[in-house]
Amino acid sequence: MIKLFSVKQKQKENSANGRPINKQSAGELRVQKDISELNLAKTTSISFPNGKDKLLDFEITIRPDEGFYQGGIFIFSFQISQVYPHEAPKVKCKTKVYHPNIDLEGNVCLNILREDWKPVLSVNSIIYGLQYLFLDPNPDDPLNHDAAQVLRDNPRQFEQNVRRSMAGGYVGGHHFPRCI
Amino acid sequence: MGSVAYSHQALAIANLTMADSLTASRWADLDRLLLRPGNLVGPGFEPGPELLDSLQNDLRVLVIGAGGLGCELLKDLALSGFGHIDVIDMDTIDVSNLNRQFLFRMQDVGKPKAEVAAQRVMQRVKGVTVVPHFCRIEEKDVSFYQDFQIIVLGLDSLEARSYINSVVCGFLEYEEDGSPNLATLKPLVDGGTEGFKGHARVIFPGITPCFHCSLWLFPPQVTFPLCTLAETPRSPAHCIEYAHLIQWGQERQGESFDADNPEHMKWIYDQAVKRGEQYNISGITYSLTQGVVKNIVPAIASTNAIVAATCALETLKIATMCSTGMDVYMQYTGTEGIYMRTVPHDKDPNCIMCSPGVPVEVDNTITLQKFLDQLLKDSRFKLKLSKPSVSYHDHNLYMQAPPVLEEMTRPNLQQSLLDLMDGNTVGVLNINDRRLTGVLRVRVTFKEGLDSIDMDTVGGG
Repeated sequence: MIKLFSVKQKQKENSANGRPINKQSAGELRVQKDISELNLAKTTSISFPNGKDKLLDFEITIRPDEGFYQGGIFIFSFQISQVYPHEAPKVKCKTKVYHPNIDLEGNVCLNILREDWKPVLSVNSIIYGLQYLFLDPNPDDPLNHDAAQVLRDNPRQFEQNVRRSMAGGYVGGHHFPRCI
Repeated sequence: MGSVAYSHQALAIANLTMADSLTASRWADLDRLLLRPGNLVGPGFEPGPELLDSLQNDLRVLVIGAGGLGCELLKDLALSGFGHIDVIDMDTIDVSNLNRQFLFRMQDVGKPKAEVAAQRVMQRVKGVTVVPHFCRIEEKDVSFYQDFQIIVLGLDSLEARSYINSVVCGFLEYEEDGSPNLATLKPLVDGGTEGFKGHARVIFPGITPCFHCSLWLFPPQVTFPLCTLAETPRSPAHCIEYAHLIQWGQERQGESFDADNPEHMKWIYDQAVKRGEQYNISGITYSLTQGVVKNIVPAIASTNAIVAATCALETLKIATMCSTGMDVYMQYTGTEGIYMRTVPHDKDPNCIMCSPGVPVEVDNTITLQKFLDQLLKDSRFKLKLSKPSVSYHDHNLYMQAPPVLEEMTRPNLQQSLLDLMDGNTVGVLNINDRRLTGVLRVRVTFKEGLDSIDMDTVGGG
């Protein structure tokens, strides 16, 4: 316990340095670390729509160079909270994609984004996870049941559906804008 | 010690008792604490009428939150002699608040909590001034918080606490020897409740752990895999979260979900009920829906009363030193009987919010590039730094990666570090490096004439 206020000698409040001090939140400090240590493969790039000082909201673009989604361009938005890494980043896919683990609203089913998130993970870990989704789509954990079913029962048809959706066409009654 | 001190004490008590019997002083209870010495007082306690005078006229206290804890806090602080209290809350009054937020009545539903609370307290406690602020805590300029001597928190989220903690730790400055500058130390008293459980803690930035030092003690939030929600729901919470996270986006596109909008909440509840029927899951209620979506636990008046009273008492002690302060964190459980325990915590010496940082002296003409070179040659950081990135407050001075940020910040390398730090001759920089597990805080002090030591030849060569 410390005596901070002395009535007998009324201390002047420390307004000598009256400048407003904009300190960074814990989340910003930690995401700075993640970003300054990012190890991006040539298939991945990052952009900061709000400038070099606002690292809480950014976009990651993945261009798979093998697998079903080879040649496609997929953009993900990342939103980091003030208490990161206590909470996982909120990640959504901004590109409409035909994928068993990504629904048409852009929700991504990736375990480390929700129930398996640990503070020791980082933005890098999530990027690896997202890349993996394109290399190895998982029909057993589906957000898009139709895509999952087709992948399970008829992989050749799945491949055709993916190519048609990336080229900008209709699959299962839904239209996909071109992203290749 | 011994007889002289004892007789002073006896005299003081005798005077007090006589005064009591002659006049029923409004603040007689406080007088007992503030007008006489004792054995359990805080360090530097000086009894006298000036203490009550300063509580009433000089000290300004900010109460954050005018809900369950806030109402109790305002009452307790006003009745404890504090004369100038501000209260900030962004919410309006809801019917469900009325069972415990006793400053509000049915006719107040819909009005701002801060404003009604302030009015009611001023009506009931003669002479107190309560100034309401109906807005979010982030909307206030950081300098607003500097005007208060003590800040008391009645908040309901980690994010809000983290924000205030970062503001208050931002005020903290350190002396050259690494000890906190007490004039810049703004104490926080933080209370929290959840059902039958609660806590109260004191935070003296730089001395006790700050909120961030112990953030890791909080358990992670319960989240469900999205695919479980979509394919194999098993519990009422699954149905609710499916409606909240997936169906809302599909069926009410463009509308951002607002948990405080009763129509939105009702929509979620209705969809969840339908899904429950589809998957034969029972137990979905409106209040469970609110609980799952907003992560709230039903509130109990007695828990709020106990925690708020503890916080108000600690505030009084910080202001007057009238008794030994809490050391440092009190836990309360009322599930079976009543249990309270106060535990000491140590602050994290490397805390990214409140630690003093490793002291480094630099010449006041040094450029950012030369500063990085100096760090790499500093034996204290040997093996810990390879390609450091640097930031100062909310500016990224130099980022080693990714390439787009490196390009954007590269021009800063040739700038004067003193200019980049806004001309402040003492400041803390945050250093990140692949080899570090966390953020390295460095407290830079600018001095004149250090340039004469040629860093390139130090150490032989």
